[in-house]
Amino acid sequence: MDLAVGEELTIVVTSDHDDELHVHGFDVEDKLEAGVPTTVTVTGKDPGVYEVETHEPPLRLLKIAVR
Amino acid sequence: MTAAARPLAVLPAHGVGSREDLPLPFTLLLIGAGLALVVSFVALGALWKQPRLHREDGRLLPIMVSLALDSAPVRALFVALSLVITGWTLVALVFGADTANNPVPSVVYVWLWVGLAFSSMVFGGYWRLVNPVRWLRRGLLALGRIEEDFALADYRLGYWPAAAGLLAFAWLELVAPDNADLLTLRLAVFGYLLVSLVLALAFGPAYLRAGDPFTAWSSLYGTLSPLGRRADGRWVLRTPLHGPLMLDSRPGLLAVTSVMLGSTAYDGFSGETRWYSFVQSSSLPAAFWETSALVTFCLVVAGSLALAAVLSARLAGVSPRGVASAFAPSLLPIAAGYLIAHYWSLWVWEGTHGLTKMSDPLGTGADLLGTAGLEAPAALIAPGFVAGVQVVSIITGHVLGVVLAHERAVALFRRRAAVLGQLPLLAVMVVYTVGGLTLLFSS
Repeated sequence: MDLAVGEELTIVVTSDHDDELHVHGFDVEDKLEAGVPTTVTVTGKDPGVYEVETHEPPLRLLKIAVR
Repeated sequence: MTAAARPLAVLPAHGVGSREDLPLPFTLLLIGAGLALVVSFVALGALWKQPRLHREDGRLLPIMVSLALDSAPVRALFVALSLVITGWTLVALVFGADTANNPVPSVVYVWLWVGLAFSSMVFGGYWRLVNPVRWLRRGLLALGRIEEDFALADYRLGYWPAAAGLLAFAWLELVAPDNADLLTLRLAVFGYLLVSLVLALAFGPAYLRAGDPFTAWSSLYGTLSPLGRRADGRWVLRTPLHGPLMLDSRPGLLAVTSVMLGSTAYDGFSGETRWYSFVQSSSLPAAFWETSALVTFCLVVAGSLALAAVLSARLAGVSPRGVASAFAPSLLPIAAGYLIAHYWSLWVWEGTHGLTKMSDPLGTGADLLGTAGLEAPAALIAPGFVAGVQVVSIITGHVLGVVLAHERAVALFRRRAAVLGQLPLLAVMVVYTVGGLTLLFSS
C-alpha cells in the first residue's frame, strides 16, 4: 500500500476469531472481535514502511509505504 | 471498543523496528551493481602486483594521545561507564515494567548489536576492554583471592564460540517469538552472563579475547577502524584494510565472518513479501522456516567463500589448505557495508528511542537523564539520504573487500597466477554485493 505524507488510509479488518490489530509506527492498536469489522484510520506522517499485523497468532496483513 | 487509537504508553511490548526503510530506487540498484562490476575488474587489472600493506604501516598518533589511550584512569573511566550502563539496564530488566517503554529491547537489540558494531568501526574493537563479563570474572577472582590469569584448561576453540553465540543472538533478534518480552530477555541476558562467566572462568582471558561473541563482533568490525595498533603495539591511524589483514587465522574465523554477513542478509530477505506470505501460509511453524533460512544464509556465505577460495587455489596452483580462512577477512568490509545499509535508520530511530526510554527504566514516568523528549533527527532518516547511505556503504564495503582479496592473492599466489586465481573470489563478491542491493530494492 502506498500512502503520501498527509494522506489518510482507512483499513477495515474482519477476523474469524478474537484478536488484536496493530499498525506499526502509527502506534495504533485495537481489539478485533470475531466476525465484527474493525475500522482503523491512519494518516501518513514520517516516510518509511510500516507493517499492519495481528497478534494471536502473529500474522502480517500488509505493509504501508509512506512516501 | 472500535477504532480507538490508544497511546504508546499502554501498549504491550513489541520489539524494536516498527519502522522500515522505503525500497531502494531501481536506478540506484543498477548504478550500484554496475559500479561493483567495473570496480572489481579494474582492480584486478590495475592494482599492485606485489603485497604492499604491512603490519608496520600507519601514521603514529601524537605521543600524548597514545599515552592517554593507554593510561589506567582513562581506561577505568570507560570500564566504569560500561558497568554503569550494564547495571542500569539490568535494573530495568529485573524491576522495569513489561511495556513498550521498557528500554531493555532497544539496549540489547539496537545498542549492543548495531551500536556496538558502528562505534567499533569508528574507534576500534573496544568491547574487549569494557566487556562486563571480563570485570565480573575479575571481581569473582579477586573475592576468592585467585590470580588473574587463572584457567582450568587451555583455550583452543578460537572464534567458534563467538560464531555460535552470534548466531544465537541473531536467532533471538530475528526469529524468536516474543523476543521483546521481559521474560524472554531475562532468560537470554542472564543465560548469556552465566554461560559466559563459566566459560571465562574455565578457559581464562584467552576465551574472552576471541570466544566471547560481543568481543568478536566488536574486534572484527573494529579492524576496519582507522584507529589501531600496528605490529609493535603503538597506536596509529591507518587504512581500513590494515586491520583485517592483521587478523590471525584462528579456528572459526570463516564461521564467525559468515554469521556476521549471513545474519544481516537474512534480515533483509525476511522482509520480502513473497517469503513471509509463504511462511505464514505453510502448515509448519514459522519459526521452523525462519530458523532454517537464517542458518542457510550463513552456510551459503561460508560455503560459497570456501568454494571460491578452493577454486582460486586450484587455478593458482597452490594447496587449498587454509586458503578459505586467509580470504575470510575480505568478508568483513562487505558485512560492514550490509550492516550499515540495513541498520542505519534503525540505529538513528530506535537508538534514539532507547535513550529516551533509558530515562525511565522502571516505567514510573520518571525522566532521570533528561532525555525523555528526545526525537530522532529527521534529516538522518529522510528517504533520499537513507538510500544514499545504503548504496555508498554497500559499494564501499565491496571495493574494500575486493582490494583486501587482491592483497591476499598477491601475497599467497605466484605473480602470474594471482590474477587468474582471484576470479572465483571476485565473482562471489559481486554476487554478495548485487544480492545485497537487490534485497534492499525488493523488500
